[in-house]
Amino acid sequence: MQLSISNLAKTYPDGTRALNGVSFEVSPGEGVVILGHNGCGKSTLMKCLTGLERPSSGRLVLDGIDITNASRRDLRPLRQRIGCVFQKFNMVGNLSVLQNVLFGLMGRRGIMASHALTASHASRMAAMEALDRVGLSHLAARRTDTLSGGQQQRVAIARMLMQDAEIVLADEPVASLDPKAGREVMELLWSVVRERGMTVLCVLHQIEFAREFGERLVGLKAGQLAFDQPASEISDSDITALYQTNTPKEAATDGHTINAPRAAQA
Amino acid sequence: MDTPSMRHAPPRLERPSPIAFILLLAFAAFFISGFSSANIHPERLMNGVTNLGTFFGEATPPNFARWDVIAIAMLETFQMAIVGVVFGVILSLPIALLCARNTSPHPVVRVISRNVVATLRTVPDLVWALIFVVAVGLGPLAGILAIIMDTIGFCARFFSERVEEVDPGPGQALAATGASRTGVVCGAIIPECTPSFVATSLFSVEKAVRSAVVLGLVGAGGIGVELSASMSLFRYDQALTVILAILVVVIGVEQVSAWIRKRVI
Repeated sequence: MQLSISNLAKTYPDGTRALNGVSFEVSPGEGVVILGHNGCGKSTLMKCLTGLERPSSGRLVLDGIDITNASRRDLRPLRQRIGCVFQKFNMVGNLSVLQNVLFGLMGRRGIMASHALTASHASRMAAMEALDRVGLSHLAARRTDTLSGGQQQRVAIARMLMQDAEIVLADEPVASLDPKAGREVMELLWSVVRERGMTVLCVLHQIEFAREFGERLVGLKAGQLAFDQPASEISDSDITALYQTNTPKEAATDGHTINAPRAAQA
Repeated sequence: MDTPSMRHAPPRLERPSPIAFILLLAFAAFFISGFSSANIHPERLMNGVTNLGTFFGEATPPNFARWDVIAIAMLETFQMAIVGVVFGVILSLPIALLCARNTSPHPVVRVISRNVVATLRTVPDLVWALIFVVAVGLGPLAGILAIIMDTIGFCARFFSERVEEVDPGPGQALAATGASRTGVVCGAIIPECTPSFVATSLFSVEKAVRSAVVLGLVGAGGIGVELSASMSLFRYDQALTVILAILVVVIGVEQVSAWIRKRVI
């Protein structure tokens, strides 16, 4: 699934300029990691992509469809093809693991087809298969909030498999996990994505994970592109520069001058 | 010791504002007139104590001769409460979704449904019972309808408050997979709120059992009819049996409900 972001800007009603003319493309099957310190606009970018926030200007084109100003109704069929992985897992805690995986079907097939009581045998088997892929089929009957964070994130990946998504948007998928569980989740996510030839856009805070998993790294600073290069061509100094302090407030005003040369260089 | 700053210490008592003064005066006037209209004087209080003694003297030992009739009336009371609460809770759920900020389809719908719920809550259950006795005649049906109204007033309000507090994350995750609003409500919001809904409904059962007892006094079925009959026939020993039966059932329901609540939460 092709994603192209052109000149995207977002200014919040309180005047915070979170994104200031960001453009880049993601080709089908590509794995792109977005880096940047807190407040650089990463989350706003992800929210614009899922339709939770409306960009102030610029264009977002997904698979040839302009989603910049798509209505809720128009977004729905597109969202069915987008799998999201969240920092806080966002499972329905007091339902079973199997039920949460089945919810992946809801967008395409509706409420009845995705409810554990009324889902078809085939759907239940497909959900068990998805759980098997993430290594959690033995916990299918457990309440989801009794699982560890790493396990819940794996359930989220199973839900994404059930959804049969074509592009994955992952917003800090391992930020709430310990290093070991984080590595397991990253490895699982990437192997699943490769198996299915999915496109990935992943926000990360861990530079070593970004270098290891990302084919291409996009650096965001103060709402603007700081670099956009294949992972192998990024130098450590580029990354260090990305994290040099520049509070969000300063960023809103001086961001332009500070980042202009770097953006040009990239 | 008489520094300038000490001379400017605030007064011990501040003069109330004119409005506060008028309100205070009005309150005092209402209180005094209310107290005097109760017509309290020592002789009357003494008589009251003597009459109370007479009542308890005649009431003990309780007369269990009509235990079968009382048991049936108690059962009817309990059933009125259960049936009323079940229907009330079923109706409360969609109303609560209309009232909650995050699930209401439109602000206007929300304001209207909140006001309907507030009205249902403001009218006392006894008044609902009087109205329904006129509408459907004497008997348990009037009581059940009154309890339904009372339950909606109570449950729809607390349900909608719980829905507004729900964690938006799981719902957003479902919306992100392309689920409809109905899908988000059924898949994420209702399941997350269910434990709280159950607890509120159980409170509502306790409340309904107590009010079902009283509803009989206006002819809306149940044990209240028995109690008012015994009292007006001066059969205090039978009345005490009824009161004891009420006590046992109300305490029993509260215990069971508390036990279930502990399990679900």
